[in-house]
Amino acid sequence: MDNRPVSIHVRHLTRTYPGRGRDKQPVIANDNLSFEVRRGEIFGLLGANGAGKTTLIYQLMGLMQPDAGEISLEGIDVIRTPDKVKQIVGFLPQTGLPMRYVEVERALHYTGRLRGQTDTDARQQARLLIDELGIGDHAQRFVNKLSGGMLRLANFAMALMGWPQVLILDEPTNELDPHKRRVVWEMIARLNRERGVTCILVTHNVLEAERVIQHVAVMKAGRIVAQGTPGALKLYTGAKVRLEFRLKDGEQLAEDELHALAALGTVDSTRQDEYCLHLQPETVSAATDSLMNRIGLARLDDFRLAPPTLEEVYLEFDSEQQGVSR
Amino acid sequence: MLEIRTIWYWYLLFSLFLPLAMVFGFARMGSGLTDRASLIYIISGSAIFSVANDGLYTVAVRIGSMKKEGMLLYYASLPISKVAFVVAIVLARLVVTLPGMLAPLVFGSLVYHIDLDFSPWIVLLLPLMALAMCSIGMALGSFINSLELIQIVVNMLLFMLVMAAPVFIPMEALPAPMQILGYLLPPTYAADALRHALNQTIGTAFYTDIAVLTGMIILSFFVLNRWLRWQIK
Repeated sequence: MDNRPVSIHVRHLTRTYPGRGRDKQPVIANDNLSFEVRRGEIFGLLGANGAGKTTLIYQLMGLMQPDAGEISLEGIDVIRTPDKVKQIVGFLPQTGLPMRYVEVERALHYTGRLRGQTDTDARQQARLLIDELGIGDHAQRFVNKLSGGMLRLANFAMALMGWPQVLILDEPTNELDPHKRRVVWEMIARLNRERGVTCILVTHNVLEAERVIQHVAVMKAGRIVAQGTPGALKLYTGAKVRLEFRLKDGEQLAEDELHALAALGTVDSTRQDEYCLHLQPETVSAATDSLMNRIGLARLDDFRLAPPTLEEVYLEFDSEQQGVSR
Repeated sequence: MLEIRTIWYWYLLFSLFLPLAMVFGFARMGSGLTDRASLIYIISGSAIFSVANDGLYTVAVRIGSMKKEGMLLYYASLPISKVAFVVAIVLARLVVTLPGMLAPLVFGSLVYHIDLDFSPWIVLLLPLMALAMCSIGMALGSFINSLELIQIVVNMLLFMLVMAAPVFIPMEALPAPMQILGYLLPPTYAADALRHALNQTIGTAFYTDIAVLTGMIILSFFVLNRWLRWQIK
């Protein structure tokens, strides 16, 4: 049971776009959404393109009025007083940000000033973020001269200016290389840990985001089809642990060895010497025992035990609509 | 605004080129328009057209591009008021439009050897003109959704300012519908006020022009603050 106070409270939120073209069928982007985000929680919003995630965050930011429903963010009625929300929320949209014709450091400084920081505070935070994100070499370069990845990183830093209590990040790791993606995930985790920042994270990079996400909602066709902690969703979907192993050259599993493994779980084999055993958590111990003692380490070239990932959970929910709630 | 730091010379060149070319070319049309009254129309009209081009066109297209690229949405997400945003955009443009406003006055006076009265009122009038044009640009950029349509409408307006508005052409020479339309356009009052200032005929008509221009600016700021669509429909 999570005792933290509620930071974001959404009830029966519905938003429809008017129809276009000949048939003029309206498009329901958000269909009666209800969920809560606790203060200091990292809330992952997952879903395929067109699932309604961006529409939802625009409404959370007060940038779009819903057709029906309620949104409260840190006690602020977002629908009635959308301007108040902007004081406490840092936003990174998918699109590029303005201030392209100024240096990175200056862009951060100005963003801080626009967010109400004093000149000294804005300068200090700009320097701090530049150091922590490792973009010091680019601090005096014009934003429009940056590569796609560096631009995204600079925009991410702009979203953090003013130390907002709530962060809404739409695909923060788009266009970033693996190293910079890690820097971003670590920064989000650190802000959450050290400053108690509440974060709504929209991402398709589910595998990496799993490191920081504490609560998840999976959206499909404008609805939340599943929500809960990553662990709860994995349990619910019955996501299995994978025992992957590869035999050394010339080695092959005997019939009885294969049958023994198949008795513990489902065996897949993509190549003659490569196997993947899908296991229920309670049979993992027996399976590793069988692998070590029956097949033997001497015959193995490589092996690994992979727990179920949030990505598998997401893919499962995305392919078939199921319902589960907190 | 800071983008101008890197290519300020291009801005300067283009903001000077157009009004100077107009002052030079219009006075030489046909057998030439060399009388003082015509030259005053050409000089003041060129200054107004320069402001319209730098203010109205640039601001409208800029807002349209910001909307198209999602940047207006980002500004909307910041804790800044709409009026602060509008004033910042318009004032930033004011600085850029100043050379183009002043150049035809100085150039016309020197080339055609006519005495123009550089009344202190011009110091007030020039920013008023720029603010009026920029706020129209802001409104067009904001209220029209398509960037392409913004460009078409603004180009049409600019063309109208030259060929069918009481900016280069005396009001009485225009057909009645154009006269009515002219009364609705801020450049009409800006041009008339500028002509009065340059001719040293400051009086009721001039003060009326200034008052109407000021009223139009206040109204446009009010409209923009109330209805500027930086949210999503």
